[in-house]
Amino acid sequence: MSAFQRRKIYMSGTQQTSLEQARGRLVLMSAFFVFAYVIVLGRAADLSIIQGELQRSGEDSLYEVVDNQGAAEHIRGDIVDRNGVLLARSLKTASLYVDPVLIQEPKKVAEDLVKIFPDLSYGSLLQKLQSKKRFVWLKRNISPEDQSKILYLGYPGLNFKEEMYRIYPQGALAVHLVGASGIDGQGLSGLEAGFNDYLKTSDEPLQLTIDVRLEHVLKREMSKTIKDFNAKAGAGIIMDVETGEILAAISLPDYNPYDYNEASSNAKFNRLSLGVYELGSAFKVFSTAAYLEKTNSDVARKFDVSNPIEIGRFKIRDYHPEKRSMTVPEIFMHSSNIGSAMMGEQVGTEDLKNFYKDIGLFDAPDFEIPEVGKPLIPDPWRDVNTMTASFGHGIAVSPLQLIRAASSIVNGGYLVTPTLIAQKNHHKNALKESRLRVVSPQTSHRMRQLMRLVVTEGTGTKAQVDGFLVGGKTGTAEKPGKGGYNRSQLISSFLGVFPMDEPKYAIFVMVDEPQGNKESYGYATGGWVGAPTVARVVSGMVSVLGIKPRTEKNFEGSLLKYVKTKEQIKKEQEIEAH
Amino acid sequence: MFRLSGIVSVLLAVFCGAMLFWTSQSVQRAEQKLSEVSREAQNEEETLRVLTAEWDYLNRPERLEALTNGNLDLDAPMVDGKSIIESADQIPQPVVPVIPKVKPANLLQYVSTQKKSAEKNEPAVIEKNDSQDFDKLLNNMATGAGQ
Repeated sequence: MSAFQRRKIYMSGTQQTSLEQARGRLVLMSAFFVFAYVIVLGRAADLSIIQGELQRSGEDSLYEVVDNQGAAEHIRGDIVDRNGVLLARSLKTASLYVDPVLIQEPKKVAEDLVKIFPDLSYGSLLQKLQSKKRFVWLKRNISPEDQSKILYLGYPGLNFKEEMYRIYPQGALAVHLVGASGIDGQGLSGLEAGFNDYLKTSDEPLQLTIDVRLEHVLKREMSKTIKDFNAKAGAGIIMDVETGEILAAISLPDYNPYDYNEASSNAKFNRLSLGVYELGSAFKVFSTAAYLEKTNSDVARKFDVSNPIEIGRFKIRDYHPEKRSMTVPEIFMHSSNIGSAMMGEQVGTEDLKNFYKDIGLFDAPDFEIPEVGKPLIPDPWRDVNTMTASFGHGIAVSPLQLIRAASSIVNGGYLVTPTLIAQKNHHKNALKESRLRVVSPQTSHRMRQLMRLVVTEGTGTKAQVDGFLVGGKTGTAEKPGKGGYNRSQLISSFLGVFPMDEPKYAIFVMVDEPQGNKESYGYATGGWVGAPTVARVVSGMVSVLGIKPRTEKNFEGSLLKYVKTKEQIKKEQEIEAH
Repeated sequence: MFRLSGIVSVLLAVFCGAMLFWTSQSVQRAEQKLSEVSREAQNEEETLRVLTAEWDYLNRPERLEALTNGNLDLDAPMVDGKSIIESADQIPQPVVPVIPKVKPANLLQYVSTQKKSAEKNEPAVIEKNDSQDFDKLLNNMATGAGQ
């Protein structure tokens, strides 16, 4: 009989003594405790040996100290140019903070920290290290190199928190468009502010229409002009006349986006879309277009511009009086204020106002950045305002409005909307169909010819670039000051378009208070300041964009019969004298 | 108390426990591996973000222009301030470098030849090595003197 069987018999007995009962319970209890100990032992082995091994293999010694709370947060989206070049991106950086309670030797720690960060002062560091708080920022957004130096010091109490830092690889280039953001990632200006919600939530980068290469060309040439003519400020825009896309835009002086808080308000001021200026003769593009539209392109009509026009206390005179009767092309190419005022009069106050309104000169344009200025329109608008507004006086608009209106006239007559955001599947034809027509194709064609004439024969000859059929209009306006206009303070500008037979790009440059120099024989007008700048910008643009030069056909030729040559004028004057 | 069925069920329970333990360990290992890999991927991604930003920073038009102006002797062909190229058709097409279509691992076979040609074409690299060569020369002289 086996032991089991014997026990079975023994256990199955009906009469159990209390001793046996106690023994059974003891065995049960012991079994329970043995089982519990085995579980505890197993768990201890699991935690210490198996899982400990796993954890050791996955350690990252440098970044373990970094607080990973930010990992789950959405990273603020990138801003890129039309070719995908980065304009703004958020990168992870470590920020150093201290728990002063854990610092044993504040003086020594402060000394070591000053060695790593020479820009921090020993005194303020010591103060922070001895404070009673449990969390004090020492330096935010430090470099990985400095971080490893601090880790090497090995002081307990010095900790890192992961933060996002907004970097702008292109620096100050396009800062007035891209804008700046604060230390907590909030957009402060430009698209950073205008698209704050999008950047905070979207995974897709914000693609702009600007091209950093063109942006650089425009900035380089604008800076040169401002320096050469010792000017106060300037602005320049390049626009695609068919789509209204802004390819480049510069407002000078500009600022570094990292120093938004320290930058002067002058540097922060956006002269492209926020500043409004009386832009002078560039407005003749609009008044002449209105005249051609109203008179069915009557370019042959002559206007007697020999005497200044006097209305009440106003006197309209020309910069370079020709003192004769002139046709429309002559008025345009010589930029005659008197002639333009007469043409404006012909159009009539209501029609001119409506035309200006149609091409967007009366309202602040819809634009993607918050910095958009409202134009200054004479109120009430009298007949004299019609005359002055025909040559760009008494009405102040932003450069953005001006280039938009000009693009809408030369592109065949469709109103374009200025935009900074690249649209995918951008079908030009589909867009054109949906757009508003502001002038007839005939007027648009005539305006292109007139603008070409300005560059070949008129005030803008310095904008000529061989092989690229540049056209344009000069603008020189006196700045309004105390008690009238100040003749020594000018805003000189040039509105250029090319190629004139099939316009693709419009370029507007504006220079604030240029001073004449030796090379310009003391002149600081649009023809001397703006036109050469546009010529240089066009030269730069064609090499960046790879536009081939073409043989220049005589595009403005059909207008030449309305323009008297110097010899003809001389002859006429001689006959008159006799 | 110690019936065969009891023993079998105890053994079964122990076996199930062991299996459960083994499974849980496997899952933990797999999770650990997953988090490790995803963390690595995240780190790589972050590195890429930094590197592409640096690439665009180094390729600023302003910097490239300064570098070309400083290091290359390139000027537009002009005579008396006028371009001598009358039409763009005269400009030769840019030469596009031929890059072999192979996976990175297979690129190693090209490394040695590429290195040689790079050395040939880049005088700057050779100049940098000049100081090292000079040190070598000194060493050689010293050992030569010893001999």
